[in-house]
Amino acid sequence: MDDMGTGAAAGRAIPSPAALIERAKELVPALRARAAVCEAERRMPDETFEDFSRAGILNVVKARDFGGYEMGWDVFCEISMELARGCGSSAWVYAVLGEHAHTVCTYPMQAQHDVWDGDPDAQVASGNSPNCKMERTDGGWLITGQFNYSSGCDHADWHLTGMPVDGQPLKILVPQAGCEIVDNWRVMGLAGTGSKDIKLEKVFIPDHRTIPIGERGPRFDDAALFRLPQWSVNPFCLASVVVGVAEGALERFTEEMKERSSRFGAKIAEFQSLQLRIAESAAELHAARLMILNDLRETMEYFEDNEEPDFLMLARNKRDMAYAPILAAKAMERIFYAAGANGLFLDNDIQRSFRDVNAGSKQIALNFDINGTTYGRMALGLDPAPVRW
Amino acid sequence: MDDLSAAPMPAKVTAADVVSTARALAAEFRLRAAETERLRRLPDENARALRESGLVRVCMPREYGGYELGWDVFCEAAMELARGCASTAWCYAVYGEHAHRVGHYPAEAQDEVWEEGPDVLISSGNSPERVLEETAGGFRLNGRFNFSSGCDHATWHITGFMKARRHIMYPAGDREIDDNWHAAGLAGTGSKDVVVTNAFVPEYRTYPFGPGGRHDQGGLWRLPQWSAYPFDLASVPVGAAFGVIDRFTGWMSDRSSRFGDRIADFQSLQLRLAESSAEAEAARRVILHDLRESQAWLEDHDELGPQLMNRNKRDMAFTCRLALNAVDRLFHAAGAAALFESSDLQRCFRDAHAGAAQLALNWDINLTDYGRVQLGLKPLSPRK
Repeated sequence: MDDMGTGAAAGRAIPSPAALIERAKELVPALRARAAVCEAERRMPDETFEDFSRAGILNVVKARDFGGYEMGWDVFCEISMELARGCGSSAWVYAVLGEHAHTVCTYPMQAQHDVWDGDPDAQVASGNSPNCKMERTDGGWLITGQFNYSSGCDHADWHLTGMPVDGQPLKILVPQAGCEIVDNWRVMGLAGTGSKDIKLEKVFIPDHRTIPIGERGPRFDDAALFRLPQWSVNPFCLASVVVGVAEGALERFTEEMKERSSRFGAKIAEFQSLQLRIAESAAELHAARLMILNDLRETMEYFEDNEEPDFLMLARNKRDMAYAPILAAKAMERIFYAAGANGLFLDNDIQRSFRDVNAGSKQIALNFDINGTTYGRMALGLDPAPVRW
Repeated sequence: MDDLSAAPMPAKVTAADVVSTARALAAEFRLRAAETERLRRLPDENARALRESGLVRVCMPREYGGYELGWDVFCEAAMELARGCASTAWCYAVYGEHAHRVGHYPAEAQDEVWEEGPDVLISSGNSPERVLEETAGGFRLNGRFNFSSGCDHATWHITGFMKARRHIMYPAGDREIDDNWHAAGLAGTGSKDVVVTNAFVPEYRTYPFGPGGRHDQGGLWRLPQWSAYPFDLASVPVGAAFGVIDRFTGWMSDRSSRFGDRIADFQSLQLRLAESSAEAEAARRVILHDLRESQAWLEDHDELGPQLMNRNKRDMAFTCRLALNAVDRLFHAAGAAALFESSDLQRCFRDAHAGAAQLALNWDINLTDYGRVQLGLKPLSPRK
């Protein structure tokens, strides 16, 4: 008998990290079987969302008093990586929803009650909002505009974002009711994330559902998990998806190549060039995985004992969350190339993995030019220029 | 009435005419690149433009109205077209190559193909074994041929049989198209399967492997199939890289970051653009140089020989690698906005990778043989 909770927030038994990672692994075949449908529908299938809910994995980094498990960001990322071996888009949605359950816990307590008192399993999506306008009104704000890239919005009950308001960067939280999903996510990779636009027209945000970016949340003193600086830690979950997709592709590629023969009848597995491709890609993915998990464990440990960040560590994290996807993209390209023209057909998983890896790497938080520059400037003793830590 | 802005080529066509015609057509094809992909074949206007421009004649025999200008000129035209639309350029490379190869078939077959004029589109298809049987006066052809790029607009097909060691051709009426080209890149090439059932191929529409009918007519006609021709396909990823550079440069010139900085001011972006441009230009130069050298050598020699052949094969894979490096570096810097299907950049990215997947351009095979020959070993691939 497995140790899954009952679904009610209170009194839910907390599984071990190893058990959760195991559940994620068990979901891989089902995710893989649905990957083509997920892409075609440009949203994650409802069955997959139900699988995630049932497995309890959406709660990994959520606060305990709302039914979460408060585990380390490394556990969360390991689950994301495992899921991505089956379907990149579904793992991306998982990473985003899982992350935001944690982000909400950095908002004022009243906001957290707003989200989960009525529905302990309520989900939260997000989006970029460079063009939103905030208008001051009694007791809060009216927001008008459009969020972009709202991954997982089809399964979300709330949306959050950060935006400058009168020169002050502010995080906000709005309910799905009153938002309109604009079905514009027609893309070449990670199409199944459904990262559509969210349109808002004078939606009211009470002050308790806002918090200035950089301000300590109400749980800051409770645990290292709630002291993590958002931009130097959180996006590892997205980097993990990119790495996991490539890992899944490499496993399948290796299996297929065991059986394959060339046009001239030679066993392809006997080619040293293929052996080297598999070896180099495997080494890169191993390095990428370890880099993510080690950085996170080290960061978690650091924040157990410290309140103030070590900025060089944060810069190192930013460098690595961009570099791990670069390793993954190299590993992926090396085997996709070797799959030849057969790998181009849309019913071949490898071309989807290739597109998903390249799409995931484009997330701005994983951008190497930006993050690598921050690290390089810090390493050289320069002021790191504007950075979101 | 058609909408082409390309001027008709003069009576005596030069290499410069070919390249400028290709450049003008590329501007048109670029506008239809999304439609080309959606159709999963060339739009009829593109196929018509390729015919009416005379571009297919670049390496075709003069005797039938061709220009015999050289494989380098042909590849330069393919690169220019790929800058606008890689799928169209790929079909062009296939059509242009085949218009040359038909020149090696018996005269009777050439008369038949070019009976009504020189601008004929000829496709091919990979041939599985054991579908060609000898029969009275010729052969009996059965089978399914894969990756038949441009088949929708072709009136003839050529293919070769490893076992029978024979090139054959058959008219489009002898085959049916199986519309199975659902691909992640170069979707517009319509590289579908074609199925031939019990077609009779008269002897004169075939010739055995080995020197073709025009072998004695100069360097162009002595170019070997596997160590020279596929440069036309390599030209497509290389041209697509130039297409990415064009589009990326235009886009980044006036873009701002989230913090309001001009992105063009970032040194990282400047370096990416510089490195990708250098790679694309190097790839272009290598292709043109290798072909000119090969043709010049073959003016005075019967065969290219293992050194030049394997150098060429190395370079047709290496230039694709340079092109992919150039494309990936810029595509990565283009951000998530370039993921949308409405962005040309993501199509160029997918097309470049798809083109480089062609077997004749394969890095592992071609570079292994280059290394083997340098080390005094025999190459593994029997294909010259």
